[in-house]
Amino acid sequence: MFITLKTKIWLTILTIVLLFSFFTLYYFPEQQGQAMMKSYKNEVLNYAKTVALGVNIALNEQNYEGVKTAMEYVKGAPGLKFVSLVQVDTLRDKNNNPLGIRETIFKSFPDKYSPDSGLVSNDTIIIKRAPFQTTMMSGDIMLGFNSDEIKKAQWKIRKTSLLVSGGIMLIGLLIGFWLAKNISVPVRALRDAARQVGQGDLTPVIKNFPRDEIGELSKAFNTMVQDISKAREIRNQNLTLTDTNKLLNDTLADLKATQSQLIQSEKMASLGELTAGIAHEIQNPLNFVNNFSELNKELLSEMNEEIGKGNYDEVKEIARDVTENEEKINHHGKRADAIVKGMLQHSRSSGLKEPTNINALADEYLRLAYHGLRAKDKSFNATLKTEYDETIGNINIIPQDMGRVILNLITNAFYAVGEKKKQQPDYEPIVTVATRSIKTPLGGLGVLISVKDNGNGIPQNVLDKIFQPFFTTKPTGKGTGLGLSMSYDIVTKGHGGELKVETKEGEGAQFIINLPV
Amino acid sequence: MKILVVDDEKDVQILFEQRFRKEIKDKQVEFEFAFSGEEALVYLNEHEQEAVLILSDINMPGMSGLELLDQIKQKYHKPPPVVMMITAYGDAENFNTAKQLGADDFLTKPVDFTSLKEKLKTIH
Ligand SMILES: Nc1ncnc2c1ncn2[C@@H]1O[C@H](COP(=O)(O)OP(=O)(O)OP(=O)(O)O)[C@@H](O)[C@H]1O
Ligand SMILES: [Mg+2]
Repeated sequence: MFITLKTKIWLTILTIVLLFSFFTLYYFPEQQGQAMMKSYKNEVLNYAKTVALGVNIALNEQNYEGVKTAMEYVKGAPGLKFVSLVQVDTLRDKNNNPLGIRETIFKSFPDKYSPDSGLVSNDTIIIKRAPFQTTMMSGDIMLGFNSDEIKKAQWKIRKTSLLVSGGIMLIGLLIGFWLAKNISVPVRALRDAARQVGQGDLTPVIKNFPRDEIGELSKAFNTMVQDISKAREIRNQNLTLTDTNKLLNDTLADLKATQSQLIQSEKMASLGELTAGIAHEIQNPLNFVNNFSELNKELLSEMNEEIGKGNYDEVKEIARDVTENEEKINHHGKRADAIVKGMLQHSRSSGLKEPTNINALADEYLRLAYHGLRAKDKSFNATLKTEYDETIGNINIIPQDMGRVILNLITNAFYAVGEKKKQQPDYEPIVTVATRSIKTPLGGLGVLISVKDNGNGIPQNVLDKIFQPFFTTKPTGKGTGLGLSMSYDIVTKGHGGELKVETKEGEGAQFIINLPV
Repeated sequence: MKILVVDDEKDVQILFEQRFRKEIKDKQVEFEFAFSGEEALVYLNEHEQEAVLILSDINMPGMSGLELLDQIKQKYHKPPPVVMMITAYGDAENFNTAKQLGADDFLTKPVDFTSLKEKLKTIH
């Protein structure tokens, strides 16, 4: 059975009030009335005894006036109805055995009142007797008192009780209301809030809490709700966090993959740097062209002078210088030309991706490079090794671009082994081209293409510059220094791959192209 | 007067020798060439205080002209050689660093040989 707290409070108060009312309305006046009645009766009895004593003395002295005075002693007592002197005679037979008792009203006050001697107390009257005994006569003093006074007093008590219990009822009501307000209202607020929270709404906040346990409870409840909502927030954040975490992990892997590229591309010349580099690279040969042609002009006019003087030895010398300078002009002109051509190649993004057999492509460019070089330099020779992974099949690349990269790497390798051969005639140059199918860290498939040589390797101070445009260690005029930077661009920007180098000084270098498939 | 020319372009030697052929013939100047910063330092170590003037390119593989300048100005005190820096593009940054490191002059390529000759006269 569900009894609301409010009901319980009211029931408690009602019980208390009822008990109290019973006490004040019934028990207390009853007791009081009885006590009053008893003391009243005592009083009447005392009166009777006093009168009896006076009558006794007067009769002994045979003072009949005294008897009257004694009887009138009580005449002023409130509620007095009558006072009578009852003569009691014991009737005896001849043998003096008591036969019975005869009672006669001998005297009464007020005179006209003549009660029956057998009268006893009832609702309206209180009768009390006190005996006296003299030689002359013996009997009782009988007093009759009105009980009205007592009744009146009892009524008064009842009335006061009624008032008091009414007051108590009122106070009870007030207490009830107050309790209800102070206990029931906040508890109900708490219950409603808790219900709301239970349904998942975390907004309720209990305001105006009393300063007691319920208040404490309300405060605790508020804190709890706040904690729950915080916890929920955190949980939600955690949920989104795990989502983002997964995403982040994925991107992290991507980022890591591109990071190294980024670092390199950072080093790569920006457009401005590139322009400055180009300007510098072209400026040098052009300066030579200009300077040497200016010099030749001077030399030729000098030569003219010498011819005029007939100083032919001098003329011959000048002519030799002019020829030498002419060669320089030609050389630096070609150098500028090569740089411009290389740049054009560098900037041109040719073609589209198409399925290509990477093994065939690598092999084609290996031959091209080898025979091209042999045509220029008959003395060049190197052992070529190939390790092709036949499982690769066709992959999507821009064939011309990737071909150019492979060609560059192979050309560099040939150059490196050629240089070492010049230093160590009994050294065996080996260049290895290999392909391999791999799994990328992200789980995708990839292809590695590596070009390895056993040349002199790349010194540490050179290593971080080799991918920069125009960086070359070849003698001036022999290399543009664009080969690797262009290759780097093609592999990273053009194909989303990586171009890495592994080297040990004196033992060789290996360039590895890592392409996602 | 001994002049040390530092440039990674080997043809600079022929160029300078021809441009100054009269002065060389007249023994007014004497040229030494170094094709890298390292080479220049080696030369300076071996021929202490011979070079009165150093003409150095800035943009060189290996030790750059500015690094060389720094080394020279820190190590070769008495009498400090005059160092002129040469660069293909006269950008402010190179110029400022060169000045900071104690370069005595700053030339841009292409080198104006007439004005260079004028400058050399003032050094005498
Ligand atoms: N296999 C290698 N072994 C040793 N050093 C290498 C190798 N490949 C490249 N290098 C170094 O990297 C530098 C830059 O190479 P890159 O291909 O960019 O230009 P280059 O070969 O010098 O000039 P170009 O390609 O125009 O002929 C080379 O000058 C060389 O110092
Ligand atoms: Mg190359």
